[in-house]
Amino acid sequence: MLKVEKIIGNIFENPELAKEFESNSHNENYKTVNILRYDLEKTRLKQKTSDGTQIGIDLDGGTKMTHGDVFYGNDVKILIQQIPEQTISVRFVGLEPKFLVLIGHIIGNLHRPVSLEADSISFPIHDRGEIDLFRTLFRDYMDKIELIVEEKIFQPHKSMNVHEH
Amino acid sequence: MPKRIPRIGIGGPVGSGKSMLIEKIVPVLAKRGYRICVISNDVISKEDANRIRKNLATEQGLLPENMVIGIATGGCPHTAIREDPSMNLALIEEIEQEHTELDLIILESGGDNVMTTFSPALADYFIYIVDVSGGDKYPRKGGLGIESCDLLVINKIDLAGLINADLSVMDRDAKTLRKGKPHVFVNCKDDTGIEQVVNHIVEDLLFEELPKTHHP
Repeated sequence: MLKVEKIIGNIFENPELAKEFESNSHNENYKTVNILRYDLEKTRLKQKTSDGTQIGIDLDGGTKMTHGDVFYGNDVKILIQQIPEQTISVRFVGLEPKFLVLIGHIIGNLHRPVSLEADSISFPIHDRGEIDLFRTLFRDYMDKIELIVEEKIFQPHKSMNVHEH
Repeated sequence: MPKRIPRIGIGGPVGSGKSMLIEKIVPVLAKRGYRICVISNDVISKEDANRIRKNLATEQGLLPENMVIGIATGGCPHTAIREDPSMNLALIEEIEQEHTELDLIILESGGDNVMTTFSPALADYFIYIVDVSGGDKYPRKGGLGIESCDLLVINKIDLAGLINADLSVMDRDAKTLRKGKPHVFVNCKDDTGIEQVVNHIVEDLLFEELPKTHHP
C-alpha cells in the first residue's frame, strides 16, 4: 500500500501543476483517485487509484480534501477527482425575495447542503425519485421556478457545516 | 494539527448488537497487540458503557477501566455523532493528549434509525450494524447508514430460520445497494464473522500497521 500524507496543491489553483498532470497522462507516477464528497472530509481513508494502486490516505487532523487536490508520496503524484452525484438545481430567475427565502427554508429543513449560483441553488439527492418530493414542497411557486436533475460534482457552500440525511 | 488516533464509529438500531460487537472485536484486537479506548454514547443512561467496562476491563483486563467512557447525550442519539459532535470531540481531544499510546478509539452511537451516520470530523471508519430479526428486507430498504457505511455488519444470523429471513437475499441486496462496499454476516453469540470484521478494521482503517507497542 502506498501511504500518502501530504497535499501539495490543487490543479484549479496552480496552473503549473495542472499542466504537469496534463503532460504526464501516460506516466505511471501520475495517478488519479476517485473519491466521494462525504469521504473527502475524512483524514484517514483507504482507496484505489485508477490504475489499481492501493493507497492509504493519512492526513493531519483538520485537513479537508478538495476536488483537484494533489497528493505526493514516494515520487508519485495523485490527483483527487471527486465523484459526481445526483443533484437538483432550482432555477429562480426574477423570483420575489420572499419565495427565495422559502426555497432556502425548505431545502434547509431537509438538512441538505447547498451550492449557490447567480440564478440557481442546487443540493444533492439520494434518488431521482426525490424530484417528486421537491415538486410537492415547491408546489406554490412551481410556475415561477425550474427544477433540473443533473449529475455533477457538488461542492457545498463552505459557510456551513451541514449534515444531511 | 497532529495526526489523529484512528477512530471507528459504530452505529445501528437499538438492539442490533453494537455493544456486543464491541465486546467481541476488542478481545481480538487486543490479542493482536492494539491498545483501544471505547466511548459509548447513550441517550440517558451509561448502561452500555458500564457493561462494556465490566466485561472488557474488570473481568477480562483487556484495557484499563478508565479507557471505557460513557456519554449520556441527553437528546437524539444522532445529534452527538453527527449534527453537533462537540461533546465527543472534546473528550477525544483530551484522550489523544493524555494517551498517545492508543492505536484505536471506538465510538458507539446510541441506538438510532437507518439514516444514522457519523460526522467525518468524528469517525474515520463507519460500521453500521443491523440484525436479521428485522427481516431480510433490511439491506434492500437502504438508508444512509446502510448505504454509506464503510462496513455493513448483519448480526444474529442464527435467528434467520426462526423468522424466515433469507440470508442469500440479504447478501444479494447488500451487494447491489452498496456497490461493492463490504458487508459481513455475524453471530456475536458464537463469534461467527468476528475475525472478518477485525480484518476489515486492520486492513481498511489501520492500513495493516503494527500496534505502537511493536515499534522500537
